[in-house]
Amino acid sequence: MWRWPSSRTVVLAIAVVLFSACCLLPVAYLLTIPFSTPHAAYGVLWLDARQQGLLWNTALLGVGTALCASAIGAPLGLALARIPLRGKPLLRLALAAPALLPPYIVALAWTYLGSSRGLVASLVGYDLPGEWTYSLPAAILVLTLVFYPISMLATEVAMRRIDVRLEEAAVLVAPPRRVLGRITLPLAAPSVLAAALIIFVLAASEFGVPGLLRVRVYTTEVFTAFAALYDFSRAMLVALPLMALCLILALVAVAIVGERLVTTRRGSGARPALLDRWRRPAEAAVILAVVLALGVPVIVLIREALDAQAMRTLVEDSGGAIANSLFLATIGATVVVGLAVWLGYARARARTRLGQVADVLFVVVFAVPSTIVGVGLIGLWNRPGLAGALYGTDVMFILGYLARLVPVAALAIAAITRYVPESHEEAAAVSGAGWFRTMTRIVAPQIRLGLLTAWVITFVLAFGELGVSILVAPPGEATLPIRIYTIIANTPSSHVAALALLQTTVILAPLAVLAAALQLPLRALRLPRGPSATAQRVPGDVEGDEAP
Amino acid sequence: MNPAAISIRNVSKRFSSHQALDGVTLDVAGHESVVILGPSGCGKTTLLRLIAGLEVPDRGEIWLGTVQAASPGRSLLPPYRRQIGFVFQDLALWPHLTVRGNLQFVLGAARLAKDQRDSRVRDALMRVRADGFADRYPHELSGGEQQRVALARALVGNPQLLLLDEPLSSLDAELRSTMRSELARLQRTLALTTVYVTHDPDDAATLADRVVQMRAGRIVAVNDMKRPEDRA
Repeated sequence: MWRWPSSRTVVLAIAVVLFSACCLLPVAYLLTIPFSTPHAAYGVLWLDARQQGLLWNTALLGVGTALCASAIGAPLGLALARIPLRGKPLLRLALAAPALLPPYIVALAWTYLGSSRGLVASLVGYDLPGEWTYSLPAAILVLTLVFYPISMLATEVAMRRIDVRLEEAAVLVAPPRRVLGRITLPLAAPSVLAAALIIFVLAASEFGVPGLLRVRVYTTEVFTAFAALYDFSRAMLVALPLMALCLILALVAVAIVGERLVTTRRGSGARPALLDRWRRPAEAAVILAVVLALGVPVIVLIREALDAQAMRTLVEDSGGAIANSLFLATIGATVVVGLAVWLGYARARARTRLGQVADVLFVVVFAVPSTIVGVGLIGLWNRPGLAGALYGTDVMFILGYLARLVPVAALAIAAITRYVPESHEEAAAVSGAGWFRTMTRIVAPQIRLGLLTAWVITFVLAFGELGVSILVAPPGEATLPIRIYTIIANTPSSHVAALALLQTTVILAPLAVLAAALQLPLRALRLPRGPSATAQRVPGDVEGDEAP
Repeated sequence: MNPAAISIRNVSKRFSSHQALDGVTLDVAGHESVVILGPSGCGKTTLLRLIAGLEVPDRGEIWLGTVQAASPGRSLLPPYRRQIGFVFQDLALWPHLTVRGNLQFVLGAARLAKDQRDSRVRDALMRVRADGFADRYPHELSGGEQQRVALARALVGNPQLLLLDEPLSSLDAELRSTMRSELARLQRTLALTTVYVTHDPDDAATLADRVVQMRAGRIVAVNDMKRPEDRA
């Protein structure tokens, strides 16, 4: 007998339909292009010298960044997980902050640092970086500084997940170095490898940094084909090899990580002190990393911006773009989290097989390069009728944010939701509460700080988004990233630096608030106790917290 | 007079607000099998971890033979130098290593030729009747097989002391009984100094020369046991 579906089924079904429409459809649309393109156009896919160059540069950029970011991030993650560093929560936050900076901002700082009248030149007396300022190694360096937190956090989480007993069993029979080399690191290795693959995908998908540093890769080729040559089918065909590469690597990463993608269980009990005597060197290394990855870019931007004349005029000129960015990022983050909360909940409660499919979809969608998503959105919405009415409006920015950021937010919320035992919902159901009441009164309060964190991260990422925005922006409309990117060539560097500094401030401000919150006692945050307290535990609790 | 194999002198240990051990004093003679019996949270596992060097006492001293292993707030002898075999409650078999790899890791510090090492591994597995599993990974073994491997791993290094933390608690009744008999057999064969933590009186009856009863971090009774084979 037919029955009305439950409210849970309806809400989750709507969320899945919206995810499919906003995130999957642009990618699916691109995949249909080969079937509707004249065969002659496939010439762009042949690996002639130009294509080989693109492939080589893209591969080098991805591999170089993945290796360098892992070489820096994994030891830092090890230090955060295993060494009792002083001020660990703040250090972790400072170390993770570069991941939230738009990569092109760091690249911009790099160009100021390495230019003929930059900081390095003024310190050493001559143009030390020289031509190296605009090069593939420079792009690798910049992306390494931005992406190493991914490896760091993945390593730390992996280290904390290792069952304490496995290490204890080893320290009974082997010295710390051997325990670390044979037990701890091999157990964490899959997560480090998966993070390296994700970094490869992100680096190969990056548009702003290679564009700024004049490195020809697939993403810049897609942009050029579309924005400069107005050759839509060429842009799509050029995008295909990169998309295939990213999708394959994303699938491999998901296969390696498996269920750990949304599980952040911590091994319980005090950890054996394997690396305590490395505390001082580790603290020095952490501070050096913070200075290089966060301090230097910010200082360089400040130094460059100090020369800016008529700051007021500058801000007035770009006021529209600034207000636009803040408004769109706020709306975008709200809409993205509003959708991701249901997807994340569904993922957290999904059975294993279905959950794995969802993980694959989330990671694959996130792995699609932003310029390709932009091209897909244009192809999908730039047509007569209702779609055309939306195309050319600010809604395209929101659709871009949805396409890019829903997977990240959904995975983060799924990980948080897993901390709420299903029995809490069952107990509410047995007590007569409907699903909505259970969600709003039982589940949501337990994950509220996690939701807020997801919103802040989404806001920051949306505020710095460039790859999709620059393609789908309606005529005359610009966000701050687009404004910065487009005025670089014909505006004094001090003006560009001032805008970049403004953007950096807006991005780092929420982190500063979070850092201040970390200084407050737990009670001041009014965190509930029990599983939700664990879920909303701010990062950085010391090892001592794990004592039995 | 020979010193005790383990000497615990007035040891206390506190975890934040929980007083896990409160002035515990206990001597274990060489080749003796002591079973520590008590309810959950009474401090018996903490006592075992202090002997192994996985925790440091807040007060008191721990001696292993003539060597002081721990003083208040300090470990004087790292765990891997205490010559201890430890069987954890959850067994803690390293999942990324085969059974052979698990045992070989224990022998890593010993400077043995490869054939000697292989022979030690083989002997240890045969001793616990697990010699058919050498090339399998822990997840490919049944609960009882994992139990045997954990025991082999604890024994392969020829330890002076064998510490067992409720090693049978996760087994069903039948397997538990079988493994208990196996343990008793090994004890007789190897004559190791053994400290066995449990809350099951049947374990104590089968395995103990002496039963130490604990409650709320203190020793409340010590009973000499006549083991079944002695009665016979």
